[in-house]
Amino acid sequence: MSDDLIFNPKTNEGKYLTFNLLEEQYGISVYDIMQIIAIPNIIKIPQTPHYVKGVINLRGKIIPVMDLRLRFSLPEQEYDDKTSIIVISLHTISSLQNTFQEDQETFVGIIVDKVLEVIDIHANDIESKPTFGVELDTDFILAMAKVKNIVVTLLDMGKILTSRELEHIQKMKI
Amino acid sequence: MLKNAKIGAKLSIGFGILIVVIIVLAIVTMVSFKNVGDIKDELLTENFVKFDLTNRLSSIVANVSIEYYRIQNGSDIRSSRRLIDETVAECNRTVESYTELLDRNNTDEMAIWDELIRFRTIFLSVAGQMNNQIDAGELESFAETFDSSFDRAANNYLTVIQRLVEFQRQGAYGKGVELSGVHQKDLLTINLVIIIGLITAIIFAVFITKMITKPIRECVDIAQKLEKGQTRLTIKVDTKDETGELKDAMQKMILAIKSMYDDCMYLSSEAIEGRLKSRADTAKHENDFAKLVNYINMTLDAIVNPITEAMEVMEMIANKDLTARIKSDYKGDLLDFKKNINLAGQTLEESIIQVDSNVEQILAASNEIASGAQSLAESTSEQASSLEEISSSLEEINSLTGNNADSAKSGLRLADQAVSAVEQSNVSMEKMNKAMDSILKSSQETGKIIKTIEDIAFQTNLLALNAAVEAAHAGDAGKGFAVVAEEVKNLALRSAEAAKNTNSLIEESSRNSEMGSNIVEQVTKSFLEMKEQFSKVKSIVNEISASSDEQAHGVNQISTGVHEMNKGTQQNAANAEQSAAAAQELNNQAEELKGLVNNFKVSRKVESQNHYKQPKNNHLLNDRRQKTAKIEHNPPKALEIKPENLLPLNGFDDDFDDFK
Repeated sequence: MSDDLIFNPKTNEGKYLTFNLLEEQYGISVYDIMQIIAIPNIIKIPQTPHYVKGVINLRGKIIPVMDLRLRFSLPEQEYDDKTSIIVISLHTISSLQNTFQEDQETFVGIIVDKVLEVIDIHANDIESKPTFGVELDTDFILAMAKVKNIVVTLLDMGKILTSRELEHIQKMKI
Repeated sequence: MLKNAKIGAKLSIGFGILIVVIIVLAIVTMVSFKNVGDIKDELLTENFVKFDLTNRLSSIVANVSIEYYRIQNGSDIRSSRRLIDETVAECNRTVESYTELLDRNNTDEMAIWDELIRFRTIFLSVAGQMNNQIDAGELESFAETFDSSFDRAANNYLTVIQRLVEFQRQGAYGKGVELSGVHQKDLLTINLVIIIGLITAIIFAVFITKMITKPIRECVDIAQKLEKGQTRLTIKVDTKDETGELKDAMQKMILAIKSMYDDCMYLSSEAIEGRLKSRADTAKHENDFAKLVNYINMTLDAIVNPITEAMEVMEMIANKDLTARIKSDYKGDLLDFKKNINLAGQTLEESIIQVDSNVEQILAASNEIASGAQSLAESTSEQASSLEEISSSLEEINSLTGNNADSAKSGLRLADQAVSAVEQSNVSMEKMNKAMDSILKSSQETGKIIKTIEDIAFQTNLLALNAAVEAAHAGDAGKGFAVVAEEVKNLALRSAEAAKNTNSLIEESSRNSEMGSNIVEQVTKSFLEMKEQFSKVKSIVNEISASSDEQAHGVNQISTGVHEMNKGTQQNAANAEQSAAAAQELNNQAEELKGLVNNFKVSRKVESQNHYKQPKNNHLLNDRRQKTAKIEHNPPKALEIKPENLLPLNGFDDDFDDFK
């Protein structure tokens, strides 16, 4: 762990929290993360996309949560004692063109199978994301990293939540 | 006489009498009315007119006198004169009227009338004189005449008139009295005629009505009695009119019915007395009655003929000819009668035939019995020797049974020991089972604790991660904290690892204890089964013991039975001899019966083939002997009872050894 490793938008170098989703490892920049919690009681909300599971009450804040498995069209799984929620704070995401509500911090919880650890990913470990052709949307992938011979997919949370979804989440936050 | 007259004549006489009475009454009434009318006419037309005329005459004369008196006294001469003329004229008219009515036959009246005419003439002459004097105006002479002669003449005249008046008055009164008398008399006569007529009419009405209704009433009574079934009735014919004829007809009718009734009664009573050949004479009756009597005769014929024939048939049967039958044809119930008689005959005949054939069979059977009895006698002696053998075998069986019972008792003891050993093992097994259960329970408790530890490790891990995130957020300031977080995370991971290991160990131990528990359960079950089996063994051994006792008892009974049988066999031998003799006797009797049956004449005969023959003893005896031998070689299989067949003893021998 190097001492002054901070997020570099060009190289994507920085500290990442890794987690498991169906055997695969993914990483999210720790700067986007507000908190990691075990799965609490989720209050269901009607008329929402199927991957939005509802809202949780985190110390008085109402935060919408979504199941990342469902968001990635992976098979759904029963929640167990490893399942955790990573609460993400959105206004710090540099790539997001948040034309509205600029000063407001927006929190979203994502449900993952299991959180692993906080690791440093250096620029030389990072490779650019693969291209599968124009028809496949790979925008939400920031880059691919190799850590101890394991490939970690680094995610861009701003891309995962499109502007429309964000609007939706904003509305839910009332 | 009236009695013999027709009813029409009787009625005519009755009504004629009534008419005569009415005519007489009418004539009497008319005559009396005529008398009364005559007297009344006389009274009205003669007496009253005459009375009136004389009265008027009296008043006229008085008036003339008064006028003359007035002239004398100086009143108007002329008017008085005119009045006098008028009055005299009227007086003349009245006299003339009376003259017309005068009864010349009545001397009294005529005498008075003549005197009246005389005084009238005097009066008129005086009056004429006075009139002349007046007319001449010689009033003095008139007054003189008036005073001297007129007063007298007028008085005389008036007196005679008064006499006539009186006469007429008396005449009228006499007529009135006469009228009253005639009226009374006639009224009496009419009443008398009415009463006599009424009485006569009533007497005739009652008499004639009686004469007509009485015989009819008698006929009705007789008819009613006849209707109620009485036939002993007589009617007296005493008149010759229509009722007499009616009585006569009824008399004949009753006689006809009575005669028919008598004939019916005669036939019935004869039939009741059994004289069925009696018949009634139909010539005595006519039409339907004759038919009825004839039918009764025919009925008797119809009944008598079959009976006669049946009697003949019965007589033939009595004379042992069983082939006799009724051959004529009959109808209805008589057909049944005929059928039944014939059936009786036929049945009797068949029975005799049957008896005949049965006698034959009896003959055959008695032969059989005789030979059978003979062979029975011989086989009985063989039986006696067999019984001796059986008796000795029974002795042997008895001693074997005693051994059996002893073995069974020792077996019972061993079985008891085995049962108690098994029970002890069972108790130990239960204890072990309980221990296993508590191990399982503690394992589960430990599992729960491990689960909590795992939970805490997970939470700690999350905290460490959060700390790492926070440290990253803090940049340089959080570096040290990040190291601590890393350490905490490692600790959390290690404790999670340890918990996981412990958990797997506990799971294994719990699986093992579960397995142990199952095994204990199986062992317990086996022990229970074993215990049950031993109980069975015990009861079976008990049964064996009891059976052995019973067997000993049974063998004793058999011994007694064999002894009895021996006695019985001796008796049998004697009986067989007797049977043979009885069979011979039976044969003789059957021969006799056959002779009797042969006396009957029947339509078919059974040919006799059986006569008593001495039984062929040797042949029959051989048969019996063979059969007896067979029985000896095949003792009954039911006695072969092996213990294997009662108990599944296989496999238990080893266990048994263990408990020795």
